[in-house]
Parts: sequence; C-alpha cells; structure tokens
Amino acid sequence: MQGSRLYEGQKLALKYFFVAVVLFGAQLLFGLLAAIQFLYPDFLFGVLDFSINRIVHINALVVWLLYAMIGAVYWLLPDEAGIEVVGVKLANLAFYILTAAVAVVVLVYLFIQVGPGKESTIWFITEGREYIEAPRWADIGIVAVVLVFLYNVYATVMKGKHTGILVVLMADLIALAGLYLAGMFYTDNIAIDQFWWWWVVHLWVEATWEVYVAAVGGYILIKTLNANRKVVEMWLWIEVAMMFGSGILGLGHHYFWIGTPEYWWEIGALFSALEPVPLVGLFVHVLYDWGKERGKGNTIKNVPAFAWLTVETFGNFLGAGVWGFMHTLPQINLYTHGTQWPAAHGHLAFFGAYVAIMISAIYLGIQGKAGLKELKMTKAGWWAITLITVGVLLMTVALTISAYVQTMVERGMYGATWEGFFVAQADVWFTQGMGWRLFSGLMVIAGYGFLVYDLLTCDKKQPAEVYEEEAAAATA
Amino acid sequence: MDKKPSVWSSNRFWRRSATWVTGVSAVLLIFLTMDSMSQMTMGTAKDIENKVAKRIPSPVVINYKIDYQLNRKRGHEVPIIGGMDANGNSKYEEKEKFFGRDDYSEKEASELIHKGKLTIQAKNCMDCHTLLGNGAYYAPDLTKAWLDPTWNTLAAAYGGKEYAIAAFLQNPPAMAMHERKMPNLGITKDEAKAVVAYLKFMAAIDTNGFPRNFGKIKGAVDARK
Amino acid sequence: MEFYMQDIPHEDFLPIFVISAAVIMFGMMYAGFFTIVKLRLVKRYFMVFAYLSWLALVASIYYLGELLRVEPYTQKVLIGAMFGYLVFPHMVYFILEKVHTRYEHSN
Ligand code: HEM
Ligand code: HEM
Ligand SMILES: [Fe+2]
Repeated sequence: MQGSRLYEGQKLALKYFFVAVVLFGAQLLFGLLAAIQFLYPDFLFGVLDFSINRIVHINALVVWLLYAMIGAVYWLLPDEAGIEVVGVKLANLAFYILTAAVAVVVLVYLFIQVGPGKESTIWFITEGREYIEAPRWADIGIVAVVLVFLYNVYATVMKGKHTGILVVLMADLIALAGLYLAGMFYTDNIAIDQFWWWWVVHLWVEATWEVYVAAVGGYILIKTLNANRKVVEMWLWIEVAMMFGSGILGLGHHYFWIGTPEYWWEIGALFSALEPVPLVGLFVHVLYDWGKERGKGNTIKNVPAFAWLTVETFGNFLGAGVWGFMHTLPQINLYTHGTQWPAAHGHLAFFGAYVAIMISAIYLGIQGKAGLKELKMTKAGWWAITLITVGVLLMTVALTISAYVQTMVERGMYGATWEGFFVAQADVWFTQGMGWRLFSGLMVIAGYGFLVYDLLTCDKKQPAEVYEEEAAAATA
Repeated sequence: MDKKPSVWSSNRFWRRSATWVTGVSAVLLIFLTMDSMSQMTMGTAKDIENKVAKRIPSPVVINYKIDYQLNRKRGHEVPIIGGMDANGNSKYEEKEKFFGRDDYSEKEASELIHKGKLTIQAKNCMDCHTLLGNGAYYAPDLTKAWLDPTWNTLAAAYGGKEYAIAAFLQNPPAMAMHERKMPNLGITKDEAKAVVAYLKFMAAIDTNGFPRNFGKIKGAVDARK
Repeated sequence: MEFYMQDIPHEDFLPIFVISAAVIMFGMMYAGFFTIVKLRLVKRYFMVFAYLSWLALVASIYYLGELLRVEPYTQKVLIGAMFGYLVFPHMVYFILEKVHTRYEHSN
C-alpha cells in the first residue's frame, strides 16, 4: 500500500539503485583481489590475473555509478516535473536489457579474458582501453539504452514543469551521452587513440559528471534541508559556468605527453589549476545553506543523505581539488605521470565526488520508498559512513606514500627504466603503503557490509518519534 | 518594496553566462583539437625520405635505428630516428635490422603496426602497464620499452633484442625476472612480432620529453645540469 | 635559455607536493573562514584568519613557483591569480546575498 504513493519512474529508480549497490560490492571485491596481488603476486596468477581483476574493479565502478546516476534522475524526474515519467514501460525494458548486457560483458571478462589480435576481439571480448574495455557490441547497446533514457527525460520535462535543476540536467545528460561516442572507434595511432579516450574520461569526470553532481546535489539540499530553490538554482548556473569554464579546457592536463603539441602545457596548467575553484564554491554553498537553515531552526529531513552529501563536498574538494592539483602542473606531472599518484588521486576523487553523493541519493530513495517524512541516522548507518570514509582516506594516504616513493626512486633516480620500476616497487616504504592499502580496503568492505544492512533495514529502525509523527500525521 | 533587482541575482543572467562560458570553451576546444589532430596524424614514408619530423612518424621507422636524446633547443629529450645530426635532430639515415630486414615497405610496416595495436588491445596490456604513461601501475611503462637497457643485456643471447622481446612475449613466465610475473596471454609468434614492431614505433613518438631522463642510471640524473 | 620545463632535483619533490596541497588547503580556509564569518556563525574578528589564510596562500604559491622554476610569464599569471582569488569570495557572497534578499521573503 505504501509503495503505491511512488511514481512508476521512482520504482524504476529503486531497481537501478539495487543493481548499483550490487555492482559496488563487485567493485570492492575485485579491487581487493588486485590489491592482494600487489603484495602476493602468485595469488590467482594465471587464473584471474591482475589485469582482469582491475578491469572488473574499474568497470564495475563506472557502471554502478552510471546506474546510480540514471536511477537518481528517474527518482527526481517525476518529483520535479510533477508528472509520471513519459514512456516508463520502455524505460523498464531498457533497464532489463542493460542489466543483461552488463552481466554478459562481465562473464566474458572473467571467463574469456583475452582474444587474438583481431578486430573480432574488439567487437566481442574486450577493447583493452582502460575504463571503457566493454566490447563494441556492448557500446552500441549502451547507446541504445541511453537514447531511451534521454527520451524519457526530455519527453517528461516537455510535458511537465521545467525546473532549473531539470534544465541543467537535460543539457548535461546529452553532453554526457554524446561524449561516450568519442570512445567508440579504433585507430592504429595510439596518440590519437588516447587523445579521444581522454575526451570520454576527463570530460566525464571533470566536466559533465561534476555538473550532474551539482544539479543532483542541489535537489538533495532542497529535500534534506528545505533549502531555498531559487538560491539553489541560481547557484547551480554559477557552478555550471565555473565547472565547464575550467573543466573543458582543463582537459589539456592529459595532453602533456601523449604525442600532442606543446601548447597544451600552458593551457592544461592554467585551466586545470582553476578546476578546484568550483569545488571550493560547492563546499561554500553547502556550508552557506546549512548555516542559513540552521539559523531558522529547521531540522534535517534525511540525516544519512545529508551526511553523505557533506562527505561528498569535503571528499570532492580533497580528492579532486587537493590531490588533483598536487600533480596537475606539467613541471611535476612529468615525474608523476604513470605512477601511483593518479591512483591515489583517482580513489579519493571518485569516492568523494561520486560514490558519496550516489549513496546520498540512494538514501533519499529509501526514505521515499518507506514514505517517512524524516529519516534519522541509525547505528549501522554511522558505522557504514565512518568505516567507508575513513577507509578510503587511509587508502589515499597509503597510496600517496607509495606514489611518492615511486616518483623519487623510479623517476627521480632511475630514469623510468624497467629496473627502476622494480627497485621502487620493492622499496620497503612502497610495499608498506601497499599493505596499508590492503588493510584499508578491508575497512571499506566492512563498511560496505554495514551500508547494505542499513539500506535494507534503516526504515524499520528509526527512533520512536519518527513513527509517532508519522502516525499523528495519518490520523490528523 | 525598493529598487529593481540587481542583475547579479538574476537567474537569467547566470544562465546566459553559463551558456556562453560553456560555448566558448567548447568552441576553443574544438579548434585546438583540429589543430592537434593535424599535427598528430601519422607520417608517411615520404616524410621520412624528405626528413620531415612528425610527432607520430610513419610505421617504416621500424627500419631505422631509434634513440632518445636531449635536444638543447627544446630543453628535453626527443626521439632520434636514423642517427642524430649536429643540431640534435634526426638524420633518418642509419638503418637497423628488424627481424633480419630493414626494407619493410610502408604497406608491410603498416600491417605490422595494425596487428600490433590490435594485439595490445586484445590482451589488455594497459590493465597492467602504462603506454604513453596511461594505464595501470602494476607493471613498467612501455612508452620507451624498446630502448630499455634491460633488453641490451639479453640481445646477444637471442640474436638481437627484437628476438628477445618476442620470445619474452610468447611465454613471459619462462623469462621472468622478478617475483611479480607477466602472465602467458597466448600471444602467437606473429602477434609477438607485431607487438615488438609497435613498441619500436611507439619509442619513436615525440612525447615532449616523457619520460624524463629515460635510461639514465642512478646518480647520472641530477648530474646533468 | 629559459625553458618552460626545467629539470627538478628529486630532493624538491616532497616540498612540491606538500606546498601544492597547502595551496589548495589555504585556498579553502580563506573561503571557509570568510563564509562562516559572513553567516555570523562565529565572531567577526575571525575574518582576520580569512585574510591570514590568503597571505599564507600567496606565500605558498610563491614558494611553489620557486620550486618549479617557473619562467617570468607564469610568474605573472600566478600573481594575477592570487588577486583574482582575493576578490572571488567577496563576489560570491555579494551575489548570494543579493539572491537571498531577492527571493527569501517571497516564499
Ligand atoms: C571528481 C573529479 C575527478 C575525478 C573522479 C578524477 C579522477 C581521475 C582518475 C581516475 C585519474 C586517473 C586516470 C587513469 O586511469 O589514468 C585522473 C587523472 C588525473 N587527474 Fe583527476 N579526477 C578528478 C578531478 C581532477 C581535478 C580537479 C584535477 C586538477 C586539479 C585533476 C587532475 C588530474 C591529473 C593531472 C591527472 C593525470 C595524471 C596523469 O596521468 O599523469 N583531476 N583523475
Ligand atoms: C576495497 C577497496 C579497494 C581496493 C582494495 C582497491 C584496489 C585497487 C587497485 C589494486 C587498483 C589498481 C591500481 C593500479 O593499477 O596500480 C585500483 C584502481 C582503481 N580504483 Fe580501487 N580499490 C578499492 C576501492 C575503490 C573505490 C571505493 C573506488 C572509487 C571510489 C576505487 C576506484 C579506483 C580507480 C578509479 C582505479 C583506477 C586508478 C587509476 O588508474 O589511476 N577503488 N583499485
Ligand atoms: Fe582530468
């Protein structure tokens, strides 16, 4: 009976969230296997090699975040537009097709692993390009599903209310989807290959996904804090200007060393150095809204969602802003490029910028599903957020220490040779860092256990006053 | 109650600003991309004949000796193809046998490069190694692997370093040098030759001096200034 | 010759990373202190910390420039950026206030 208050689009969102959380688990599991192999190279050697574990780890990451992102849009779309999602039947069909395709791709990664050096491998087994290894047939399937998704969004907004958040999302999603096409071709020229590959990777995580987060973050602020919509929406446009203004040309920080002209040094340095500014802005905005609403004595409507949003503002700032800036200037990137530095940065940035906010959105879904006006933090919820956040921070610090040693020894002292690589990998400071990474990975996995438990049970474990209020509202 | 609202608080103003900023950035990026593409297209055998430097040279560079030397004018190392002249530029003259030949036609060389690149993708090399510095960090960077001093020590035993690398690729655990081994990826003899050709070709790509001080052994690096 | 890219001795790596982190942290502290003072969450004189953070930021950028051996063109860009950043929170706050006074009382 409770579920019937939800729009069909929101029920679909819950399905997307469900798969997202499952894939998040797969991501962590395979990350753990890869981390073990750093310390014990014979572990699963020849069965599930490092490359395979890593592919599943990072592909699961990207795919679950996309699932959660699509889910969050289906969640807020009918709410914002004020009408049911247009074409929701088709959307459901697309969900099942996508999920079946993802399952096939993962099984092929795990059981077929590699193919002969022919075009057919690129089409059916793996493209062998980091993050977008998915074979070409799957690319085409993904594009088809995304077209359905875009149709849902556009048709619904046309028919319903055009809020500022929706307008930003509409523009952003089309760019996000379009960019995927830049990664869908083959060339013998590895420099051009990587040039376009970065269009997908960088222009996703440092432009279109960031804007997505700003928009969905605005929605979460409205839902959890009752923040003023006009302020949120105007601030959103300013964020868009700053993020695209710095992020689009900030792409240049990947064009220092891949066969590209030298002018990217200056362009990449200048614009990527500006990229932290909107992240400071985002942080200030959340602080500002929180301060304003607190001043008015308003309570937080969904404590876990707001707590995870807070983790996102700090994490985004630290992971993308601080850890990004540490190696973005070409003078230093010359030595850090291709070491554990990007790994240290990648972990905190992906976690801070995207994982945290998607968990926040999932908590909104849980609250809506249970039909509660307020959602408080449970004990398990606190354990989840603490273990996961502290775990990822610790992992980042551990990787940073290893990265520093690697830069010093392999790049600074040994001129980037094969020998230098292995001398650095054997350095005791380096291996200790890897050990702490493994430990912190276990922490994150424990936190994930709490998270799953909490998502399944938190609506039943609320303090008594939440249900009393609910009952009072029902009888009134 | 009072004066007309300031433009700073107008939603419309900021929406327009965002649109303009995004549009201008995107247009700039497209122009820069077009320029970069024109500078990054693969060179031809003609370019090599005419000694025209290309950032990404023709696949026929596999017929030539490749080196990586400091260029005073540019302030960093650059690939040197077929010997270096007095100004630190490539001479495109000195040849080097590659699997017994130094006369691969443009078509033959391109076919090798094509198969090499496909194999590199099909075997997921980038999920352990970095190429041009991008990829995974479990195994060494391959950008200049062709020039790595390790191969010089093995070359003699195999009759040339291309043979040593090809042998390694076909059964890496058999030639493992460290506890962390490369797995056997089922690379065939033909695929191995093509991959080695790709590595040689990649070493000739102008990467603006990445990796810095490549191949300098401990102690020699900071001493250069 | 002034090259854009100088060799960096490896003893300088550590200070470079630490100072780069400091640049962004001081940048955030400046914006953060500025905001909480403006929101009256803390006493007004805390604004001193905001400007002290900005000064620390400038010092860090200067040191970073030295460590990276930047050439004169980049030096000028850095100086410009520091002044831009001094103005930035003032502008943001000014705008936020304007929006609030415009919309807050209308709903
Ligand atoms: C949420 C935003 C961000 C995410 C999720 C993110 C994630 C990543 C990841 C995963 C990589 C490694 C790519 C690979 O596998 O090779 C990377 C590379 C890099 N990121 Fe970010 N990043 C973000 C924002 C930033 C920002 C704001 C900056 C600069 C201030 C930055 C600077 C860099 C640089 C310089 C590299 C290249 C490292 C190299 O290859 O030498 N990132 N980023
Ligand atoms: C159980 C926890 C985790 C463990 C043990 C783990 C382990 C690993 C390992 C071993 C790699 C390969 C790095 C290399 O090539 O050297 C990796 C890469 C990566 N992981 Fe994780 N990870 C964990 C959690 C996460 C989380 C929570 C995220 C995102 C929020 C994440 C995002 C990434 C990314 C983006 C890369 C690619 C980095 C790059 O290429 O620069 N990982 N991880
Ligand atoms: Fe980037």
